[in-house]
Amino acid sequence: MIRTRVQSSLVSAVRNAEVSRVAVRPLAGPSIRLAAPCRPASRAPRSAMLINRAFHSSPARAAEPGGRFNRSKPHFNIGTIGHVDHGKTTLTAAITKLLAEQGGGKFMDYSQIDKAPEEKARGITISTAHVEYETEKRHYAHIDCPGHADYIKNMITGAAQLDGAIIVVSATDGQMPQTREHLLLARQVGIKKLVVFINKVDQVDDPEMLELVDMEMRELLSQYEYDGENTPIVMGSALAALEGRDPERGAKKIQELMDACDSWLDQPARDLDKPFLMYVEDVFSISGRGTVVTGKVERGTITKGAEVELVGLGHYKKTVLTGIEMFHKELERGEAGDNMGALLRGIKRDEVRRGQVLVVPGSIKSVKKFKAQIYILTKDEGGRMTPFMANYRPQLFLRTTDVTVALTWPEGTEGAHEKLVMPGDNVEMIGDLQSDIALEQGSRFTLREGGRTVGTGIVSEIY
Amino acid sequence: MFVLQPIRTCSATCTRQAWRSLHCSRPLFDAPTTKVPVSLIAELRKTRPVPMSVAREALSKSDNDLARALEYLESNSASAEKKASKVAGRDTTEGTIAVSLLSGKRVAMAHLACETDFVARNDVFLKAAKGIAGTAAFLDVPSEEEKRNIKLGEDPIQTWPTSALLSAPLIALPDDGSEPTPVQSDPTTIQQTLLSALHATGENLRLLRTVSFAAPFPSSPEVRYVPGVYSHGGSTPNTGRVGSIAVLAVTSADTSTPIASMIHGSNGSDLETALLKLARDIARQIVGFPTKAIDRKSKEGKDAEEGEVLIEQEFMMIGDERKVGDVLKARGEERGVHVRIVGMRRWSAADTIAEDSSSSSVEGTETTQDTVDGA
Repeated sequence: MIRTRVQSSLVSAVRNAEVSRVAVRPLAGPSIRLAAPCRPASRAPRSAMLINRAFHSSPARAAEPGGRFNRSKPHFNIGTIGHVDHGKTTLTAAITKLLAEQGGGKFMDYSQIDKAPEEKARGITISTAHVEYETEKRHYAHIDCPGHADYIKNMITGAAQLDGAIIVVSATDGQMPQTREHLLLARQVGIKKLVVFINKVDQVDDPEMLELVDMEMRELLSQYEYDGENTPIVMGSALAALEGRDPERGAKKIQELMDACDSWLDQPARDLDKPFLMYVEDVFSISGRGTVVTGKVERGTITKGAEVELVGLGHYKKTVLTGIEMFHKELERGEAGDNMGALLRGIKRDEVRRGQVLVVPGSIKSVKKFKAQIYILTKDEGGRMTPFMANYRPQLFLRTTDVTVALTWPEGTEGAHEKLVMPGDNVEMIGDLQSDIALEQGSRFTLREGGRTVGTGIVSEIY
Repeated sequence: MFVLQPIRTCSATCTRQAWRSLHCSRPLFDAPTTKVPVSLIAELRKTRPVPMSVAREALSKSDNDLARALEYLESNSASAEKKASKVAGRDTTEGTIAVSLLSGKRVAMAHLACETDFVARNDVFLKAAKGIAGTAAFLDVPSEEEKRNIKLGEDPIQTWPTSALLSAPLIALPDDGSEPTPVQSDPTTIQQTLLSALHATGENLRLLRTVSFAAPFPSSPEVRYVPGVYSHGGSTPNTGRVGSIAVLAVTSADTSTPIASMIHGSNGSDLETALLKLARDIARQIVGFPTKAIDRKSKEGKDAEEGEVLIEQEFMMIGDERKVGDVLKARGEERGVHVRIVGMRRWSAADTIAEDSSSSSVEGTETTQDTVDGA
């Protein structure tokens, strides 16, 4: 997952603190064995990493002496979305209770979850509950934001990316008008699959009513382009599970829900498994050897001799990677996180520029036009004081690139000629770049103007 | 709000009911024994998104007759009121500012609050908010004086007493701004509309504040009032997180031709269109900047920081680098008129409103508190 500059400093601070615990990868030579279970820390929300884990001394799993973070399981960011009265917090507490009993984390009761402090990092509020738990298969960080805007902001800034979500609906009420807004949100933050928990089933005596709740929910899921037919819908009572009564509708159902999460929600691809991409930071000409480009490997792995492509700023140029160098030593293989030098065959120094990317051929396109979700920083966050309208032209920064971009409203926007964008707004806009750069869905960028960051965005579509 | 289906004069149901009372010794009201088919519940919820259990109760009490169940929900608001009292104490920090402009003469702005921004983005809620703003614009603020004459220099925007507005009938205004249909014989009040929206969304809803302005009728020949509205940050027009009202007073620069004869003369409609556009741009300007006052004369104006006084702001909304005050002067000179901004309000859904004991929630019907502008 690509991080923004805003976040990278934050994460790197955390990572530095972690250096001592993570096995250091040898500088040279293949490292396949070590790489496999190791997952880059960047995706875990900050909360998950900073928590002082007071695990029970249960020997079962995860609990290492000194509260260390065990990386043996894949990490997954999960959220609960639902109406205020439908029992999100009770469900969260019930999950932590059940899994704590199995040794997967610490039980947090209702009051602890509900009173989770808001975390302020560089003026960006991350109001996520500090909850985590583990199943047999995964380590989960549990995120619960109070509202739509918070989720969107967290998604855009990369503060807390949701990989999947549990939609909580009460059986007594069924879906509500705002359930549509919940599903729209899930779509907007890029969640591909959901799990539904129908809560409070012990308050409904008629099994047909439960069927109706189920049926209505599947219909609505399909309406919002989710797999309504196959999405797991678990019916239970979170309160029963929390109070340790009625295991048929309580604990067993929570277990069923977590099993559904483990199996139905797809683990997002790890950075190492994605196609190789490196942003070109600098170009050198080394006499007798050729042109070397340096940069940080964003994702994927590459081996010496592989075919690569330089993309961006009007270029698509294929070549072969004839050498990898790091710390003045030759390597056979480079991977995500490495700061490496790449020796390119038959490329002249003036054919490569900072801001281009070095990628696996065909894995990314260079485009001028894109659609993005953008968060405009408020004055307090260091952003603009004044609003702007369509055709605003800030500088777009994406890793090593900066290009002027013109922002306009998507076609068909009502009242586009007089629509404003105010500091603090989340908006979806079309960007037209002055020159083409390598972009894809999920690319994060910042917008700057006159030396200050005015916004941050994430690409949702390229044209 | 919800268009009710015409109530069928259902002889079939009546006969069935008579049949039932013959057969069944048990009185009807404590008989949830009527088996309610789930398909009917689903259908009822499509027309009116009430909670599942309420839908079943309504159907069971009206012998599985959809029309009667709807009627039951309409007339028997006991469960809605129970819900309202249950949620009455909860914080309402989200919400929407709805604005309404009717035929270029009457404007209103309403602040309807709810608990989460999920509901603030929902149709049921937004429809209620728009209905309230439309009604407030359509009706006159009740006043003790026979006729209220606005004097130049005083704030022409009036505050609605929330209790009066809650008991007013909801006026359904067509989206295209044309004249509303006459009020039905049995109108739904705003209170009922809010209660039904509260019931559907299960969140505490509160009508926090409402203001309106109506150009005097018959209009004075010397002064023409031109109102403008704008709302920002909503997915539909006329609702949003920030809203504003601006009222311009236009007088003729030439004392021998009063403004009324200019409007009714040749190019009059052109002048009127230009003035309405200007009022809209002023309203946008008010929203776009943290505007607190029109000029430095008022108390708020004296304490205001740079950028918070309207006429001193750069008129960015029309891409002009001059100040708002200078643009007004220049525009007026071109047309031979004087344009003054005489009233404004800027509300944000995030404003904290001075809370006093008088609750303006759906339940309460006391007087409204003084509103805080533009905080």
